Amino acid sequence: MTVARTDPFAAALIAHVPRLRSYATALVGNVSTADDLVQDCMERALRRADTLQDPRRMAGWLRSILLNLYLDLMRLQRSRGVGIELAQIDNDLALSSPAADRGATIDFTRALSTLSVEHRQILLLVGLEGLSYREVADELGLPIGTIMSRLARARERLRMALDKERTLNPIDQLSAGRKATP
Amino acid sequence: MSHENGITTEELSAYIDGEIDPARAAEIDKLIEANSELANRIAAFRADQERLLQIFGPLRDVPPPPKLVQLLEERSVSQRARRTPYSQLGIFALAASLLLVIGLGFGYFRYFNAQQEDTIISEAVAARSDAVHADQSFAANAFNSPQAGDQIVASTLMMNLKAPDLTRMGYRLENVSVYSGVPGGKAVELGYRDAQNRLFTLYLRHPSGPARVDLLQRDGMRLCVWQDEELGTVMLGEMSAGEMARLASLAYSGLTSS
Repeated sequence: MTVARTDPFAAALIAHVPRLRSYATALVGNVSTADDLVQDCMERALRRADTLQDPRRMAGWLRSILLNLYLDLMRLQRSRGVGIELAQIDNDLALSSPAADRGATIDFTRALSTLSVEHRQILLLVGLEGLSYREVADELGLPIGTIMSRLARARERLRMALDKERTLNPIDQLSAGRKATP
Repeated sequence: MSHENGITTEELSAYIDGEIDPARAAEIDKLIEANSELANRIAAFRADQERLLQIFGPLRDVPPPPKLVQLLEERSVSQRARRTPYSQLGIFALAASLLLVIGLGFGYFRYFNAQQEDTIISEAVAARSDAVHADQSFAANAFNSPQAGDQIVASTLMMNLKAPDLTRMGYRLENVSVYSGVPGGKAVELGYRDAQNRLFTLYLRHPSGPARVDLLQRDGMRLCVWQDEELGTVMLGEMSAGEMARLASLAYSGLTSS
């Protein structure tokens, strides 16, 4: 990928797209919704370029825009009585996983989607984006103690949700196991 | 805050992330040895963490959709055209206007800028190949504190910066070199190596051209120039464009001191 010289700000945005797509997909659990959000996020970023105080914080700035767009989308869906279909959540991701891992991928994405947005967000900032607790605290404007307790709760709830998925879907497990057999 | 085997859930979580005091981490290590249930619990949390990266991490290797790239380039041009030059281009636009007004001419300005932009790349390549002698060089394994690299970067460039942590991408800081006699005074080169002994260098100094982000290939080497109004960076390594884009993003965002 060679980034064009025409506009450095747009070029910097483009450079952040792959990371942001990964984060968005994990946050919403759905590749196509994540792509729509990333596109909306980029358009909003262009319109609000003036609000980026420090270019080195562009990744966090984009994540904040994306989260706000996602919360807007959820509010809109709630007001219309529409929810994201769980089956839709898993398919794209499961199909991109090796056959042996598809059952586990489905379990994981389902379990992740049961967490609150706050818990998903903090799990992703630390576990996927690799931010330190201090960096997360700065990005979210919260004390480190709050970050620690929220993250610990998020981990606990994810584990509980995973245990529940595995208990509820023994047939899926068997099916996934069979598919894994060459 | 709940307690389990003398460990709070917050401590357990911080232990997994390596965000706990080393003395307390050593105590937890001993508790784990004596308690298989606790060991299993930590292993399960770590497995969840790995699964998260395994599922969503590879999405970072997927290049941006061409339609989105095209849209961004087109919209950025139309957005910028509606903005005032001073608010967006700042000091560079003002400097450019003044240079034009005093008669240096647009052609010379372009030539001048191109020369300066190439200079930062040449400097970075020379530093990486040891074609230029560093004023000072520090081995990271001899640092007496984890923040020593940050302090060298910040004090040399007189900016609130730190040596980015690239361990997530498998690169560890190996050495820090300081150079003088460059535009803006001094420059810093941070050398990182991965498990395959591949070298990634991050060259930092004050900028000498307009803001830019370029991903280029030169002599079998991938090169990323990422420059804003305050800092010029050149990143070099033998790797794919995708890997360089990820490393560059991690390195650039990791420069900000928290």
